Amino acid sequence: MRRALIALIILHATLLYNFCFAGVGISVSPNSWNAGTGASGDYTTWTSATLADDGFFTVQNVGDSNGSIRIRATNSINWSLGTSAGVNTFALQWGKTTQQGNQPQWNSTTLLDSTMFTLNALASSKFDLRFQSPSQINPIITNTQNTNVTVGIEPLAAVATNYIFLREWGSVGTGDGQFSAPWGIAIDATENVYVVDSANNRVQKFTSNGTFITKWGSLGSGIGQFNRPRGIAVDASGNVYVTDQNNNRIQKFTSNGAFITQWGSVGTGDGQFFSPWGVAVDSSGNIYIAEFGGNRIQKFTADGTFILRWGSAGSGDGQFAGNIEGISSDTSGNIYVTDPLNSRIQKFTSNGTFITKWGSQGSADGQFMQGPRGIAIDASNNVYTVEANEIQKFDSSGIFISKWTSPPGPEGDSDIPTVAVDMAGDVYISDINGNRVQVFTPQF
Amino acid sequence: MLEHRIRTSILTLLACFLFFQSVNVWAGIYLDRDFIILQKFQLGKKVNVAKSFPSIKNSSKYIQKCKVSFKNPSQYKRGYNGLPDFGWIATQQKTLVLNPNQELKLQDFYFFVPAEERNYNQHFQTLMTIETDEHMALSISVPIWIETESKKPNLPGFNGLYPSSIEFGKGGIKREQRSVYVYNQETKPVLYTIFVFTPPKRSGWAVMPPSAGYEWLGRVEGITIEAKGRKITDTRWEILIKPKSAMEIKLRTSPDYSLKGKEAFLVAVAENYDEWNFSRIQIKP
Repeated sequence: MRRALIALIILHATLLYNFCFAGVGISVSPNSWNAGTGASGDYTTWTSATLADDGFFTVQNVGDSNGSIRIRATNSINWSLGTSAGVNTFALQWGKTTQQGNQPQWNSTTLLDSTMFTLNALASSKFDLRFQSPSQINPIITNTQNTNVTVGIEPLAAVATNYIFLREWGSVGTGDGQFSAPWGIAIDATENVYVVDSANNRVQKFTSNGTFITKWGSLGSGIGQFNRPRGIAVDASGNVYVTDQNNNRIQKFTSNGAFITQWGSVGTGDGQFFSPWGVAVDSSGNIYIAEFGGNRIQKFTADGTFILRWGSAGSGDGQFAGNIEGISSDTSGNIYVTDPLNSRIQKFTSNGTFITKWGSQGSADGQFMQGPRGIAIDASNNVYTVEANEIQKFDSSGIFISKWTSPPGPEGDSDIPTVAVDMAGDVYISDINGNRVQVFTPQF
Repeated sequence: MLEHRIRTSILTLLACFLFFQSVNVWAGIYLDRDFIILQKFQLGKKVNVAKSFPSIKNSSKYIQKCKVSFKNPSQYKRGYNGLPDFGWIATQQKTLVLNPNQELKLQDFYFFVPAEERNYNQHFQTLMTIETDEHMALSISVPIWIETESKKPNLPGFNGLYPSSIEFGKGGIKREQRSVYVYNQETKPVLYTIFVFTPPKRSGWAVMPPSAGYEWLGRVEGITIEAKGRKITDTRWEILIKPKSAMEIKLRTSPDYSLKGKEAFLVAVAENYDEWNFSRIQIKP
């Protein structure tokens, strides 16, 4: 009887323990505010009467896990959101400051009624909100406006910062499971791993633990042949896209290597390429190609119809300094591109509008010594980049999370051109020097 | 000296007053769990699920009125679909009034899933939001996963795995075998990839929560699959299923004590789709 009771208690404790609930909470101060008054066309800054906060409002994540915060302003009574002059319109600017008394950095986008950011457990952040009435006809801004602000939180998955080596496969050669300069890696919905075996001019398909499944391709320019293939991506239907660098084309295959279609030729026109390298597929099935020699990104439908392009030579926002290798898409359809000669990552909307950038040359966390090459995004939109023998992990806005190196092989240090992440969060890299694929697994 | 003390006392009182003034303006709400999972949900019954829901705490020093709402998220976890009908959330309690520092447990919160064939063996995902009624409103959204009870499929249109959970009573002590069926109700043959998947062990909010009393296996060894098709590995097969039929696959556990209390997914993915169908493989503690 006593034994049964103890077993029941242990079982009960196990049941509670295994669910691993964490609390989630949000707080804000102050809880009411006044937008103030202003002249036509002016931005009017919120001026809280609470001296302790210097006019800003503070948002705190009071839960146990990191949270995705969304702050939304609504003026549903009189005005609608818009930047062009018109009756009863208003525009917003969101600003974030890290210190009391500092003016916030205002964002440049005024057409958004909300702002989103990640706030770690128990962390807080200070915000301000500015209003502008492009046309103060009716009502004028001096009238009281009841604008509501909603601060929302959704819990985020725990973010791993520590990775350990899990397994590797491959050696130099032309046999099944052997490589000569393994390049692009892609993982499909069933966790199969596709590796571009670049100097062997073929694609090899493996299980996630490295068991060989199939292969296709040989040297040439015919259908299903390659001349230095580089990048690879898989769409939601399991179709495989491969950039065929020296043939300046993209080839599309089924998951078992049956040819479906191809497009591209050498040139700088729309739908032409100058060394196509990286390839990404967004959640809508659109294809994005990064050109090693072209300083541009081209977007296509799944059958290769040209949609749009962006990019030019330079170091400004939306420009590239050449040798682009990596491109990837997140769950919201945003596109991330490595810009190695500018030592940075650039983030765009799916139509090529610049969103943000991060990185500079150096060896500190978040910097790139030789320039980032491959890039991958996981299911939580964390970003992984590779250069030399190093993997770095960032959040979706470019905040550094962690970094680690690949262990050297018999041929010396790894030389990693690409990276991929599977559903379980395991990170796969290809190693040109070691002719192998390595897998790292997160530790929580 | 006395004047100095009085001045110090006044300043201290003033500081305290300002401090508490600033503390008073904080508004906050807190939920004691960050996801909700309802498994083996019984169909055709109005079930009070309040005990699975979080308690809500008002961490402000004034009364807060909260409303509870539901909507489907913009993205789903693999293997889950949006709740098809919000009329299934048949609750009495959609507005809550919380006194300062009060923690409230929901009392009557009813879900009802109609006992229709298409609702068995399903995995639904939706989002519950608690929002305060203020100019400076606060909201917390947590995911809800609803896994309906298993029943042998008997209708055209069901594709995927049956049953939706497979229990091994003595797994870990001796070798055991269970049968699982992959259904193809299409009018053409469909190639399925079936494999064992083990989500990573995580602390805090889980990307995919294990069932109560279990933890993720963390490795695929110890469970094997056997089917009529192309064997890729012990835990991965490709099987071609004829139109309007089902194929039996066999799952086996090895006598490995460390399997006890572990859980994994058996996943089936049809060719040309990235949609997951999954069953939970559970080796009893």
